[in-house]
Amino acid sequence: MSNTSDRGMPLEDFYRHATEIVRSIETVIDGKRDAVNMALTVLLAEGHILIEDVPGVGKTMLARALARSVDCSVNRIQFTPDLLPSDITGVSIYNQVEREFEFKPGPIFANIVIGDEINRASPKTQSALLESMEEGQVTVDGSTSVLASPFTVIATQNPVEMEGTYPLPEAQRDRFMARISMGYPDEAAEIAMLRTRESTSPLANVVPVVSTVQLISMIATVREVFVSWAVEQYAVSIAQATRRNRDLRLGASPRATLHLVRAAKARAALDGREFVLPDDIDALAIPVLSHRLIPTSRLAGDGAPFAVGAVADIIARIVAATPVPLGAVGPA
Amino acid sequence: MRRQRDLRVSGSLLTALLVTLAGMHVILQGIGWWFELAMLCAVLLGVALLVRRLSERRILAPLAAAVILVAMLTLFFVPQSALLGFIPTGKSLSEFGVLLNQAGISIAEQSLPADATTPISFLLCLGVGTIAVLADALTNAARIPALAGVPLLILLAVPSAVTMDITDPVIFAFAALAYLALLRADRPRQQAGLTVALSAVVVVGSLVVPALLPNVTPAVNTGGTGFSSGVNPVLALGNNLRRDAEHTVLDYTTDSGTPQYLRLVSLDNFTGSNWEPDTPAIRTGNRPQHMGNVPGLSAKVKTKKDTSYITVLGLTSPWLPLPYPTASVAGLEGDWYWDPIGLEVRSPNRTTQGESYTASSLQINPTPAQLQTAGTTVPANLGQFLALPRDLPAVISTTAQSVAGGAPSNYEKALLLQEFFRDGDFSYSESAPVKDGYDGTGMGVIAAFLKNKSGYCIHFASAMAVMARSLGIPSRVAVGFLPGSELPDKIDGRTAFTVTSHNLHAWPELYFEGIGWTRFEPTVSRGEVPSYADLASPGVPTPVNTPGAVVPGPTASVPAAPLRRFADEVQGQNGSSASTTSPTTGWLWLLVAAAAAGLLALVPATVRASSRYRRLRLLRGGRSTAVEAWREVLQTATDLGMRVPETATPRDAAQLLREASQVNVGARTLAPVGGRMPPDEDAGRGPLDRLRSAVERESYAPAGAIGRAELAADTTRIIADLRAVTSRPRRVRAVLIPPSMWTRIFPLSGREE
Repeated sequence: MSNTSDRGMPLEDFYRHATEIVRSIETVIDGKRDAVNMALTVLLAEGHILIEDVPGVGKTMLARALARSVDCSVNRIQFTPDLLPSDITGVSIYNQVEREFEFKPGPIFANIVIGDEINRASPKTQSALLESMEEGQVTVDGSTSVLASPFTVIATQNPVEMEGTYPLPEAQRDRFMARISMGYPDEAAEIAMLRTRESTSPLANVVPVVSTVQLISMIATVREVFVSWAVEQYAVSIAQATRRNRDLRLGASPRATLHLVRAAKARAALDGREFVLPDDIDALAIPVLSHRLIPTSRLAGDGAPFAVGAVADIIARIVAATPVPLGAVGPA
Repeated sequence: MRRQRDLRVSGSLLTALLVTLAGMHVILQGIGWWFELAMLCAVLLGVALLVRRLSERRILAPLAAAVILVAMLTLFFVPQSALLGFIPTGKSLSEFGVLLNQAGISIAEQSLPADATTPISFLLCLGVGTIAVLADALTNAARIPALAGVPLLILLAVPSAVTMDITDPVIFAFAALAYLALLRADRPRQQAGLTVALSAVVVVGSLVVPALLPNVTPAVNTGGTGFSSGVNPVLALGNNLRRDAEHTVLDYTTDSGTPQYLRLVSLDNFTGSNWEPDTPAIRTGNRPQHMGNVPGLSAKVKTKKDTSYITVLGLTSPWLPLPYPTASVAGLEGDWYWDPIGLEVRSPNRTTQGESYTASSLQINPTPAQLQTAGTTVPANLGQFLALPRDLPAVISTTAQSVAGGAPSNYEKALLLQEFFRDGDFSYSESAPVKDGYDGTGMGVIAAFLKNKSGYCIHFASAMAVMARSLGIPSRVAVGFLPGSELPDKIDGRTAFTVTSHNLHAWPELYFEGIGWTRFEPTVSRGEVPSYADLASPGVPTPVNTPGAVVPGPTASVPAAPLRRFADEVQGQNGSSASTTSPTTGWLWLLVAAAAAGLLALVPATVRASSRYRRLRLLRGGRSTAVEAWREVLQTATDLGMRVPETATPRDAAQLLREASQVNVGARTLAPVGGRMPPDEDAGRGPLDRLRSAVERESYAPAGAIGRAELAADTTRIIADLRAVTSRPRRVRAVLIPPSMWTRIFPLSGREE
């Protein structure tokens, strides 16, 4: 989240690196191409990822594999109910030799931070992540420290109805660019997994395929992707439609629109295009928007504050109903 | 969604209009008029809806609806004087004026419920159409549906205004409900509970309040005798006779000093339920300064000229009180015209009130011998005056037969009939028929009158006229005034008479060959029997009814069959909505309507074809864009029955087309990350993907040169491919009734926001 002045790379090179990252991750995650693509899209769009699913489907594995495929600093925080904010951001400790307070950076100071089971921590601790995720900096005892660049939080969480979980507040959810759901593997993938992981941890075999410099250059490439006025208009129409929808209590925030377009740029680049299509917006609308929208209580049903399927349906209907602007249009 | 709101609101408005229209059932006969007006409203609201679909400009819709209203009025009422049958010319406009005047007269002449005759129909279409356009403009263009209640209320008030009675409360309640539905349709998110409560209050209120209010009685017209208040002259006559307050209707003097029967109008048509005046279109050439020949009068009959100076003091009527037969009238103001059949003088736009004029008339003095000579001969062209309904109660004709059926000549039959009424057990009573429920002139009334033997002039006159018809004597009923009473003082040396409202009278006129229409006086104790009909006069034969020697009703010169048919026609006309068109013109109408409908149905096809031609021409000239080419492809696909939603991205649309038609092999989906490198954009692809790619670049890529060389060729190729995989009926439909135009007008997919 810093101002990278690096220049982008040719689309061919971008594409090659992206393919390598995907292949690398796929050595440990079988049959989850969509989830992997989505995670890579968000990483390249400088967003944060929320991987949500039931325990044991490979959420942490995806996060770690993605982190390890890139040669950069990686920290992992296991969120527990007794975790304190300072356990994330770091603390100032009095150095008796130097006779002054010295800041000991916490695990947040890394290019990729894996927040495991983020919804097991108390809301207070969760909110410690807020500033760092949005602004790329940490303020402790009045002094501000800038985080590494690139900086991406890959958080995993269990569905909220599981025991011992605190639902993420709306503000925090809004800071994640996309939510990915892993889903159970299909039969063939599950059998293959049994074979390959009987003995060793497959993660041990994952080696970095892209350097930090290359990653920064890839991110710069994504920034250079062109977004036409028509596509911007389309994204805004969808966001506005969510705000008007009768079945939604909370619609998409302006930040959500921003994330939608940024993610679309990454997707366009990954598709080898130097410009965004409405199709990119269509494909990303559900992963980018669904975790931010709150359905009315009528749809939420009993005991399930976020009816994931219902919200996805609403978004799909909105996307299907929003006209796609055609032609070289511009702001009037 | 705006379109859904539009459809909902227009639907509610139409419902409200139709319900409100139904309230007119208290003043109009039959239900044909309702369907006509319903169709008119539906077309007008439909046109407005359609125009709103096609254009964003709000003002266009009411304008278009108004134009269509004028075109429809022209097409259905005055196509002869219009360009192409529906574009009104100056002449059409003046014909509209004539129709309006006739409508006024028709309203004045008819009893309630009235027949929706052509002029009345025109008036209704004009008024209701205007109200529909206005209500639509208020609801949809101005977006104030609440104000649409005003034109609806006007419509609702029409029956009340005419009948001086509260409108049918049920209709009123439903109209109120429909109005609330209209308000709710505009704002579907309003609280339902509030609306229901409000509706309940309105509906209950509309049903209860009229019952609580004191009865509304018509204001008594103390100013004079009225004939133009929307009622049949017959009913007006009865009401005026029964009115206690007697007032002066007119004064007149005559040169000869003889009292005059002053006739207003003759009722020529007996429909079975009523005697009604014949109201042919006004001939503007027929100024009353020189009136036509007296029908049927031959030179042999002795006549005497007379001049009457008439001043109307208290009479509002479209017909002029005149002696019969009048040859000329002078001194009138405004437009008055004479009718060649009845020789009555009427005005399309004035009443008699305040008129002062001089009428030159003839006194016809036929001798009994002349009348007798007429025998039973009836000219063939008088079939109208012999027509009787098929279901005429038997008692009328059997009574006629038993009273006069055996007499040798029509004259003697007439004498016997008059004698039957004057010299029998009949008594004069203005109240008995009302009390016993047989007031009026219908055949049921006549039968009851023959049984009860009590009634007033109109009963005697109509009974004698109908009985005369059943015996083959052409007859009609005249409505007018008895001569009145002589004033003590002379005016300008002439004897003066004054006529009051109690002198209102009706009498039968019978036709005799060579003499013409001849007055009889069957009413007991009223009027004055003319000398040729007075058995006490010298020369008048004592008529003998020879039992058994039944002379056939209509004589040889009037064949029975055509007579019957004419009767059927009269009946048919009155059974339906009384259009005066003959069967041939009816077919012509159907043809014209079908042709117009066909032309209208081809409008979308024409618009579509011209837009395709224009697009392809521009494309070939390199002056168009890929997006335009793409639109043409998608529209063609829609026309051919392949559904491509307008919310589909170019890729989705291309995929749909490919699935629907197998056009362009080499399917391509979005290249997945980790797959092959994205291929060179256009290499090795078919026209569909080339065009799709051009559209995407044009719409979403940074500005740059887009190759347009192949656009036209690709477009025509794709269209040809799409057509090739489509069945012939679909292709024909695509050309003649292109669905893409209809979906523009009636969107199929409900769009959600």
